[in-house]
This record gives sequence, structure tokens and C-alpha cells, in this order.
Amino acid sequence: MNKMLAALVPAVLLAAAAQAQSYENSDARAKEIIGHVLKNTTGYDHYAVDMQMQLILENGKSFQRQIRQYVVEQPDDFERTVGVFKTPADVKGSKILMYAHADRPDDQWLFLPALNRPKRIANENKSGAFFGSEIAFEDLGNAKLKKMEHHLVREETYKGRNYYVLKSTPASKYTSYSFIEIYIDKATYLDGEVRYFDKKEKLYKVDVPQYRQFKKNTIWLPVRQDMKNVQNGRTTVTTWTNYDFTYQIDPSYLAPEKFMKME
Amino acid sequence: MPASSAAPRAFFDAYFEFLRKWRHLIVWGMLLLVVALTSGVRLLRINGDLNVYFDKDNPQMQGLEHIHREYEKTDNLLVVVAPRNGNVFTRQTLDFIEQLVAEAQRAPFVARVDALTSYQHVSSSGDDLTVRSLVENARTMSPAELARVRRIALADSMLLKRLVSPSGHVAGLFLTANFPKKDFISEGPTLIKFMQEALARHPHPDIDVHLTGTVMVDNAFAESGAQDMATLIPLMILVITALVYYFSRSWISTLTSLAIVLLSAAVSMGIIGYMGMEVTASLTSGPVMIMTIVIADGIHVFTSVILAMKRGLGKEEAVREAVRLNMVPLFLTTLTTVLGYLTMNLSDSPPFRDLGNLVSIGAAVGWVLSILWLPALLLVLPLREQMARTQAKVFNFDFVGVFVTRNWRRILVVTALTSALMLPFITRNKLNDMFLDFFSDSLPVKQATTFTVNNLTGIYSIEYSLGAGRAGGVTSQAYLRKTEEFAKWFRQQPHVIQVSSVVDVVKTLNKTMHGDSASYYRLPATDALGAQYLLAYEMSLPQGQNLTNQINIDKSSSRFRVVFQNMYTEDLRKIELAANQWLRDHAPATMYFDGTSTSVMFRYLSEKNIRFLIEGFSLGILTIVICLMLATRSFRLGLITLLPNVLPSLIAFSIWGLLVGKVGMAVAFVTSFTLGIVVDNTIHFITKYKRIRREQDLTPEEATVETFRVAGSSMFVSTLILVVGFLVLVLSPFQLNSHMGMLSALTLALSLFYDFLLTPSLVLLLERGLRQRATPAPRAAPAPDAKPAMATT
Repeated sequence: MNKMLAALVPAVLLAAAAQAQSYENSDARAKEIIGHVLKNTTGYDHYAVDMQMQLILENGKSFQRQIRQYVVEQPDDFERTVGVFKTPADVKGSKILMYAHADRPDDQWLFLPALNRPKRIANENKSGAFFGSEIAFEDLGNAKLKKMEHHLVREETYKGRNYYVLKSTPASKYTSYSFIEIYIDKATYLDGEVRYFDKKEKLYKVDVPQYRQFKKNTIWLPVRQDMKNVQNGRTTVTTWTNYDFTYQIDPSYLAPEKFMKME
Repeated sequence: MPASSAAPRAFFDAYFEFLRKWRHLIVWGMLLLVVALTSGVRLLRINGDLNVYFDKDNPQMQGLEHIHREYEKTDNLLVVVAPRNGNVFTRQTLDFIEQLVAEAQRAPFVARVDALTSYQHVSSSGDDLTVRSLVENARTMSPAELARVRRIALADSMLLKRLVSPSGHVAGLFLTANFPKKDFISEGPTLIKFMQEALARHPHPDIDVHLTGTVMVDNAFAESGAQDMATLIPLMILVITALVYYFSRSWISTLTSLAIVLLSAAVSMGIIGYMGMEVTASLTSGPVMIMTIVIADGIHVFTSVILAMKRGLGKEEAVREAVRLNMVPLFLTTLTTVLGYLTMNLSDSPPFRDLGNLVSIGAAVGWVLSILWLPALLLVLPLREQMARTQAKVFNFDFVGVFVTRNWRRILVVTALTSALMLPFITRNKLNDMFLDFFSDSLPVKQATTFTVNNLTGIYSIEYSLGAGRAGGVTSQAYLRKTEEFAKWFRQQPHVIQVSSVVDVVKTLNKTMHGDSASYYRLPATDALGAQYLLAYEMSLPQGQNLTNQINIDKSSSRFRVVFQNMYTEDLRKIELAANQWLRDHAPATMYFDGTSTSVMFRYLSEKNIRFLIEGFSLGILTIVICLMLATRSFRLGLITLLPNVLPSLIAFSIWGLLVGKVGMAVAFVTSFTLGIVVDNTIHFITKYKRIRREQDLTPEEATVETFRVAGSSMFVSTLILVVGFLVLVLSPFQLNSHMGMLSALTLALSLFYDFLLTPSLVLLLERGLRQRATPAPRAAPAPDAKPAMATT
């Protein structure tokens, strides 16, 4: 009996160690994959783009939102974006300045032309909807990837393509997700599908992004994103058109005091 | 018995031959059929949704569905937190609420949680706009912070009388639930169970917690229905066994009657299962009613057999005699009952239509079992000689006959006088269908809701979806000003507790954007300003706290909600009609909306039930007049004996007006379905009287006494069983059922009274005329030769 136990204990310990080793490896691998994704999608320096959001209700009715975006990469941080609202008419001319940080909650300022003053949205809580859409502030951009803990949980062939599946947990205590499953295409190192799970660990939203290569095929940027809220049946389809990498943006305009001057 | 003697003998002989030849097949085959039909019970689903009471094409229902589509579902669960120290703004209580909010956010089906702690308070300092939960980490709050939160909360129109009481002694968590399947077994109870377990996980010795809201009310509907099934039916079985045994003194009689009753109830439930009906709390009174009504059929057949065997007939002959005697009368009484219940199909409310159809089916099944299965069974069963010596309980009502023949003129005068005196009290019945009153005070949900209404907020409401005519229109000056006026108008109306609209949100934002200056708590100066405030606000709200429950997605309409104290249906009617008129007179056409809510829908249903009451009653009267004329074979007699059948309901309603005074929709049906039951006694009395007159050459007075001798006991016993059966329903915690039972029992008891006194008086009036005074004293009644109570012939 004792002998058996004596033999068993090291075996168990060994197995546990191997298991830990593999977890460690998988986490390291996940980090590597995310690094690859970020490398794929950064390095654009700056650009202007027209963003169009179509909010489709469960009954098929849909509404348009148009925003002109100016994005400038930040070498030591992540990116800064100015969005100028074009439609609907009642909020036309409203502007939003967003600082996407690599290591802390993002900052936002909103300029309301009717009030003629910028207001800092001083919330740490980024779980709210962006412009009435199914996209939350915390879903915007790729800086979010830097503020999550990633685990490689499996590899999967899905709709004819091979994916790494990461289980990622946002660091913010205000997040509305328990975890997110990110499907990273093994061939392109881009996210092919993102599944958001709510606090009850039930599937909440499914995001299918589409990328295109720009700047002489050195960088991938999104051209379309279908975000479907499976719980309320609503979908937000976002398209980005007219990427302009030559548009000159004065970096000093990407600041709370001046962003309202962008048109 | 009507028509029995004249019924074609050949038909009954052929029928009996069939019964005798195939008796084993009938007994076992029908049992198999019964089992097959009863298995439909498995298809029955319990539905506790209040909305089942309304037709889908009801305009208020459509209005409510519009609101559900545009904003959010209104299924909700309200958790009321009442600390014993009378102050919710303590570390302990706020911490408890915070923990409950966290639990509720994880609860199944919960789409949104609104609470004092998670309320998104907007504040601004300099150019910072902060939107955050009013309370975070209550455990670590200082007294100063607690005081600050108290000050903010008790001054916020969006929290007050909704999530916190004005004195701060009670707070609420408002859970909005989204039930995808609308399944009341798997959804509502799951949520309730989760919250009850959550409450158990967080000990709260000094805090009382009450659960209410539509989820609880719907659940109570389903639960009280199930409870009815579980308690009333066994009780009914007990009552039937006791009564039948008491009167028949025969176990075989008791068991076979019980079998017929149970099989009728089971088969009819099975049939409605196959028909796809849903079990509602109202439908659960059906089995008890079926049992009550059907019990008489079996007893009639059985006692006829015993009577015949007493006369010395063999078993087979006795059964033949019973079939011959009972087939037509049972058909007639069943027909009147079925017709009475079928009038419930005139109702606008599906559950009551279902109930009418269920009892009709049950009565018909009972009839088939009584004239087909029971005789075949009796042929198969070894009925022993001693059956013939069974001594059944008999009541002697000769004295009533003697009394009536001596006093029939006085009886007519007294009846006229008491009727004239009583009938005006009908008008004291105030129409009331406020759904909280559907439950008796013994139910926990009633107590919780009463506490909530007394301390925090109301459960009755009216809702509007006010259209602005164009996308983005809800922030226009004109729209907001009109909405504000409407809110102001509502606040001046009686019974109003709280009015909430988009105006509160916009005003609060205007104030916040101007450095929290109280003077800016007004509508913004331009259309664009309002729109942009909302943009800023929405961009700041966390997930699950957005404005979609108040403003639709393209901002072309907003929700307007008024909460009331407890009140009568009539008060609601006044306010609702006045509000709709106000909108028509003062607001642009795009803003017009017929106010709606579950309470409003019940009010319309209530009104339609009054119409039903008149229609159903008229149709019922027409039906029984025809039946009476057929049964009595006399136009005059049929017409005049209508009186003792109509008066019981009317007088019962008068007594109800005097003693209770509140009439809900359920009691509206009592008049129509009791008609079909009440008429049976009259049919029994008149047909027997006529036969006695014809066959025995007696004067009207002598015939009256003789009729009481042969029929009085069975009329009394069958009415007694009916009264007791309906009284069983009084024990239901569901007031619709208990009131229905109470009023039915009252009507039936009165009907016996009228059939004993008024019916014979009217017959004598017809026979003798009003003027003729010469009334020969009736001969002494022949000694009763102990006919069993149930004998109908």
C-alpha cells in the first residue's frame, strides 16, 4: 500500500507539473499570437476614414449613423481618434476624442456644438454602448487586446478555416463580459470571429470582422464588422470606406482643447 | 319525468338490448377510451400570464405589445428592502442592496436591474461629466458620504416612489425580465427561486424583504391554480363521498357515483389537453364544477335501479327501468347546463371561454358515462338482493306542500314585496377588476404587494408611447414641452403616485451640464441641445443601464408612465378617458396614444363583461324558456316558471351588493351558468306535478302536496350537493374562483327556496286564477312510503 502510494505521489506531482508547464506554454503562446495580431494591425501611422454604422433591429428596421474618423498612432501608447458625427441630423457636428491607452482605461471627451464646450466623460466604466449600437466602448479598436488576459484554449477548424481559440478576460472590473473567445486565423493572424459572453457566462454578442490590406500590403485594417447581439437579436454592421493615409492631421488637434476644430 | 312515459318504448328496448349484449365491451372499451382521452392531460400547460385574459386583437393589448417592442418587456420582479431601523441609508442596508444587485445581474432571464445603488447618477465638476453608480462599496462609506447619497436620492424624481420611499425607509430593486418562451413552469419560477436562494445567501437579520411585481403575480396565478387542483379536488372527493354515502347509505352507490364524477373531470381535462387549451387559474375551478354538476346524474340512475329492485324487479329489469326513466330527463338537464356554460363563449376573455367549454364537455361526458357506462357496469357488477333493502336517507317535505297550498297568494305578495325591496341593492355592486383583488389576503404575494403599495410604489399604471413624428423628435422643444404639460396634468389627478417621462432625464442633464445649478432644472433652450445631452448621457451609461427602456432607437417616440395607488376600476376609467381626451385636445396628432397597461386592459375587460352579463343572461333566459316550454309542454307554464329561475340570480346579486359590493368579471358569469343548473329543479317539479295531475285525478292543491312528497327530497338533496360543491370553491386563494363559488352557492340555495315556494304558487295561480277563492283544504298527505332521497320518478 505504502509502496504504491510512494510510487503514485511523484507520478501525480509530475503530471501536475507537466500540466502547469503546458498551461504556461499555452499562455505564452497566446501572448505570442496576440502580439502577432497587434503587429499585423498597427504601423499605419495615421489615416482618415468614413465610418458608417447600420443599426438593424430584431424586426428588420434599420438606422444609419455616420462618423468621419481621424486616427493617429501613438508610438509610446496606442492611438488617438477624433470622430466627427455626420448623421443623424440632431447630433451632427458633435465630436468625440478618444485616447486608446495600452495599459489603462481609455479617455474620452465629447464636444457638443449646442453647448459649445468639450466635456470629459470621466467614467471608468466602458461597458456602455457606442452611439446606440451593439458595440460597447470597451469593444472599440485593438487596444482592448492589451488589457486582457489571454489563454489559448484550443485549436479549431471552423467554416473551413483553421483557428487558434483564445479565452480572454478583460482586466477592468467594470466590464460586462465574463470572458471573450477570440478566433484567430492561423493563416493571417487576424481575428475572424469574437464571441462575447456576459456575466452569466451566456453567449451575448458575436462579432465577425473583415480586414483588408493597405499601404502596400504592410497592414491590415477593418473594412467591415458585423456585431450581432444574440440576446436581443439586434445587429450593428459597421463599414469603413475611403481610407486616406495621405490626409494630413496636425497632432496638436488631437487634444481636449482643440479637437472640436476638426471637421 | 318529462316525456319519459311518452318516449318510444321500442327505442329504449333496442338501446337496452345493445347495452346488455355488449356490456363487457362497453365497460372495458369505455374505460380504455377514458384512459386514452385522459392521457391528453399530459399536453396541458399551466399559464399564469395575466395577459391570457385578453384577446390578441384587443387594442390596448396591441398598444402594450407596441410598448414592449419599442422599449422593453414589462415582466418585472420588484424586491422591496425594508430595514427594521427605518433607514435604508446605512452601510449595512446599502451593502445588502449592492450584493442583491450583483446577484440579480447574474439571475436567469434578467435583462436589466434598476436599484438605488446602481442608479446612474450624473454629476459634473468643471468640464468633467461623470456618470456613475450612486453607491459603490457601501461597506466603506463614511457618514458624510451616506448623508450625501441620501440627499441626492431623496431629491431625484427618477428614484423617488420608485426605487426609494420619500422618507427613505424602504428601497426597491426593479428587475426587468425577458422570458423568451413565456413558459411559466421553466422561466418565472426559475428566476424567483434564484432570487430566493440569493436572499438566503446574504443573511439579513435586521432587514425585511418582500418580493412582488408581475413575475410574482403571474407565478401566484399559476401557483394558486395548482394549489386549487391539489387541495380543492381531494376536498371535493371527500365531500362527495360523505354526502352521497350519507344520503344513499350504499357503498356501491357512493363508489360508482364517485367513479363517474372523477372520470368526467379527468376525461374533460384530457380532451381540453388535446384541444390545446392552457390551464389558467380560472380554469382550475372547472374540475370542481364538473364534479358538482355530474354527481347528480350517476345518483339518479343508481337510485332508480335500487327503487326498481325494491319493487321486486330483477337486476336486469331494474337497470332497463333506470335507463328508460332517466335517459330523457338527464339529457334535458344536461342540455340546459351545457347551454348555460356555453354562453360563456360570449366572453371577451379566453380563460372564461375555456372554462365554459371545459365544464360543458365535462357535463356531456358525465351524461354519456351515466347512461352508457354506468348501466353496463351495473349489469356486470354482482348486485346482491340486499341492495334492494338499502335504506336511503329521506326528507319529508309534505309540510312545505301543505304550507304552499294554504298560503300561495301570500307567498306571491311577499315575493313581490321582498323582490321590490331587494332588487335595488343590485346597483350597490361596484365593478372592480383590479388584479391585486384577485388574490385573497392569505397569499404571500398579496401581502408583499400590499406592503409595497403602502410603502414604496403602486402596481397599477398607465403607459403611453408618445410619438414625436420624426426620428430624433423626442428632444424637440415642442415635444418636450407638451410631454411636460401632460405630466403636470397627470400629477394633479387623484390616486397618482408617480409620473415618469423623458422630461425628467433631459431636465436633470440640463442642470448637470450647467454646473448642477438648480435653476437649470428645466427644459434645454434649443432642440439640438436636448439631443446632444442625450448623446453625451448615452455615451456615458454603462451596459444594461441605457435609455432604451424610455426612448426608442431612432428617438421618434418616448415612453410615458404613470403609477397609481390602489383604486377601483371606475376611478381608473375616469382618469384614463380624461387623459386620452387631454392628449386629443392639447397634443399634436402624432403624440396621440391610447393609454394602456395590464390594469387598463382589465378595466376594458370588466366593461365588456357587463355587456356579457346582459347578453349571456338574455341568451340563458331564452334557452331555459324554450327548455321549460318543451318540458312542460305548455307555453304559459313555461313562461311563468321563468320567474323562479331568474329571481335567484337577481336576488343573489342584490344580497351580494348589500354584503360585498364589489363585482369582478368572474361573478358576471355566475348568472348565466347557474341558470342552466337552477332550471333543473323547476323541470323536475313541473313535470312531476303534471303527471300526477294527469294520472292520479287530484286537485291542483292535492297534486302539489303529492309532488312535494315524491320530488321534494330529491330536489333538496341535489341542490344541497350543488351548494356544497360550489362552496368548496370558496376555499380557493384565487378570489375569482372563490367569489364565483360563493355567488353560485348563494344563487342555487335561493333557487331551492324559490322552487319550493314560488314555483308551486305560480302553478296554483295559473290553475286557480287570482280571483277564485274557493280553495278546498288539501287532503292529508298519504303516508310517505320512504322513497329514497335521490328518486327522481
